[in-house]
Amino acid sequence: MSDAQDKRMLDEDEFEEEDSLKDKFLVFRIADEDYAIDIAFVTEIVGIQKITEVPDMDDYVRGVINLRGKVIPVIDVRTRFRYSFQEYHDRTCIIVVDIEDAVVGLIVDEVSEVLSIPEENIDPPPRTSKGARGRFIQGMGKDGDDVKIILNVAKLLDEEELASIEAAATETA
Amino acid sequence: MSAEYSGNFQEAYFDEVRELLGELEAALLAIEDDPDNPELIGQIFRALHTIKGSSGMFGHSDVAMFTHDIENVYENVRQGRLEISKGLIDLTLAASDQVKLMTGLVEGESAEEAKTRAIMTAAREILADLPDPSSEELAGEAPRKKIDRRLVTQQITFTPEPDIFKYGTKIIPLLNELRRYGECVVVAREGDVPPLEELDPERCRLSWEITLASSKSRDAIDDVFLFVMDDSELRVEQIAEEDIFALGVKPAQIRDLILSGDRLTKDSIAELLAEEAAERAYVPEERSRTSEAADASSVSSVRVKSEKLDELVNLVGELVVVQARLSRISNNREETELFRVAEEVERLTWELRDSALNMRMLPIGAAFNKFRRVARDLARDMGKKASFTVEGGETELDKTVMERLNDPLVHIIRNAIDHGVEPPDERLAKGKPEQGRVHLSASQTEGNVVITVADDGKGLDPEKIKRKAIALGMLDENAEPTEQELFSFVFKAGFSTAERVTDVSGRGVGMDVVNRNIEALQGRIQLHSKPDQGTTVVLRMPLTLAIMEGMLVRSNRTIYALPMLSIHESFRPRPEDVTMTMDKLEMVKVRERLFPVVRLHEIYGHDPDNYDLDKGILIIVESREKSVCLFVDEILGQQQIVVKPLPTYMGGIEGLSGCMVLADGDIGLILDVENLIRRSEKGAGEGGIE
Repeated sequence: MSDAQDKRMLDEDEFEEEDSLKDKFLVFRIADEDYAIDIAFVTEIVGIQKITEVPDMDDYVRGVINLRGKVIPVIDVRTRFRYSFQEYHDRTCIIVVDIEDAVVGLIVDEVSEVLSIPEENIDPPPRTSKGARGRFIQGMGKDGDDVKIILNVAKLLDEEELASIEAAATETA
Repeated sequence: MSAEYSGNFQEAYFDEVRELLGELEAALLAIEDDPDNPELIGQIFRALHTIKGSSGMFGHSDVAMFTHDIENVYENVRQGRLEISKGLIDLTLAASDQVKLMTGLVEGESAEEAKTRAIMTAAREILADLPDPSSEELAGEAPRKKIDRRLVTQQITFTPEPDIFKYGTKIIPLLNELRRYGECVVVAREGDVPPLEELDPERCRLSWEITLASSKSRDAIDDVFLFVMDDSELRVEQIAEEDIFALGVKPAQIRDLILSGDRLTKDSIAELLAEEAAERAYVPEERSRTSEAADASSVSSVRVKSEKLDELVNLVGELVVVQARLSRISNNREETELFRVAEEVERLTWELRDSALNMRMLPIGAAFNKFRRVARDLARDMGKKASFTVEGGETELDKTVMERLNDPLVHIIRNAIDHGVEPPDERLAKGKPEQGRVHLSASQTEGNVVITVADDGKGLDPEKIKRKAIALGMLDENAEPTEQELFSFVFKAGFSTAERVTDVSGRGVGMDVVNRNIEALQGRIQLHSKPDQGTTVVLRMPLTLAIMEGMLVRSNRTIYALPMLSIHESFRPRPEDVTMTMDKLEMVKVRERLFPVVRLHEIYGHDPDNYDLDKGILIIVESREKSVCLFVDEILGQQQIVVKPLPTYMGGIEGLSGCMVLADGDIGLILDVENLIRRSEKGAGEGGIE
């Protein structure tokens, strides 16, 4: 159930060690933008595989996949961010995350690297950010000259959150 | 770590208490009809005794003390000083409930101190009313049985003359007559029997040693042998002045003694009795414990958390899928070696699957006993008289199904007593026996378990249902529904014909919830009723939820499974059998019956291979309410399906009951016909508005 929890425990246990998971982020690309998520939530990364559509889902919930006998839902992060759908290719990845015992796959364009971003290098999200993407931002991570957008994974999955975004979108429209 | 261990032990304690209380209640309810049954008294005593012991051991001394008093009462019952009465049974049931509360087995409720004290006081009063035991018996030793002082033990040696058979005398009836006199041990001595080659089967060479505890005199015993006395030898000797069996001597001990060659004498018996008394005086606890151990070993079992079982079944389910893939691979490659292994794996997997599923099967009887209590209490509270009979308790059902059947069944049984069975005077006025009858039965038929609850009460009145349905606007005034259709209103939300609202039923929520629960378990519910003859509710449940027999169909790229239970037939329609109604509903004619067509692709919003009905396949599926023709692209075949729930993240999807992993690793969706039809009707309604 809880590779992520184990990692979190590891995180605490090996606080001092260099190899700890603290401040580590998994960086992936969506529409030429770099995003990062706390690696503690990541269980594994698998290549794109056959997805079975499930009716009645929001468009970003693509369906379910068979992860070694476990049936898990997969979310297309591009669609979640209101980018246009792009056919999957050989670099498309599914990042499997485990949050509060919900195991969900995140479909991303490409996984780039695991990066260490110390807390002092993380800025709060820009105040002005709103709309589809802004709501998911937890902070802006600086890595040299580059900036990675750190996402709040729980919000990414949350249904309610989406409803409020849509409400906000119609308001601004 | 230690906290965790003690947590585990506490859990084991609660499990044990729960189980023991169940046994206790079952025995209490059974003893109501059979108050002198020593076995039931023993069961009640043992359950109380063990609850007391475990409670003390796990630090629940309040429970231990409480149970102790009740146990004392039953100790007296066991020794014949007190008789089982209705009052005592009520008190013990109340005590059982109280223990449930005290141990926190009832969620959200705790025990009231006052009630605990009241029950304890009542138990002590019963004990105080008893005659002083010391005046009745010798102090110190507590014999297990009442000792009848008039009994003596006699040793009879009977050596018939060898030619006894020639006179037509039979020996067994003689021995049987002695057995009628009292407790008796018969041992045959074969010392005089010659080797086989010299054996004359017509001559009797056996002799018998009979140890008899009775009140009969020597003359009475002689009388038994009156007609064989002439040349046979009979010796009768009194070996003890009391009933040695009552004093604890076991028949086996007597037998051993005789077979070892000794003649039983007063001395040898006295020796036995002394040993017996010594053993009892020194290790009374040990004895009761070994006998408990013997009881336990006769049904040797391991307690396993049900989640662990679920996990096992899940893993086996995954194994079944992987095995199917292996078999496919081996079939495609012509390698004998691989084929053999795959075949072996297949056999083992299926065996493993069967035994894993089997572990989850429990006899339904344990659950039935709980209902006995419900029925009893309710009948008493409502001033009704109803017998509750149970049949087929050995029928096995998946644990999960059984657990989820509990509430619906309680409701149905409550209905039977509350609405079905009439008050005694009303029954008498109708010429029925005063006591009503509620009969619960279970049986297994081809992959289904059928459970029926039948009462002989007032039954359903179709006219009343009709009026009510019209009044509620559920039925058109001019409609002429069939009886079955009328009964189906009972299952609709907000429909209750109870004239008065009671604590237990008649709040309009009830049968519709029951119906939904049963459907969620892939089961069916049916009602049969005749006014003044009674109502029978029939539940048809699948044996297990983990695996089901399904038909795989394809619509667009998605593979769906339909439960075989709901499939009637499948066919490719001829274009001339298809008609379109004015409001654009497609109907298809099958042997003079019209069925509405439900297009699966339309419901789930994708395109079919071909929109023409005669290019695809129609499957007649039936739910309790109606039958429809389901349109799919293709039928892929019948298969056993390992049912998995859809990820909770996705929420409930109307018309789907779960998903499955197919042999090639793809995922298929399992259809829930009842909800699918409901959904299609809603869709049609919306379409009409547009």
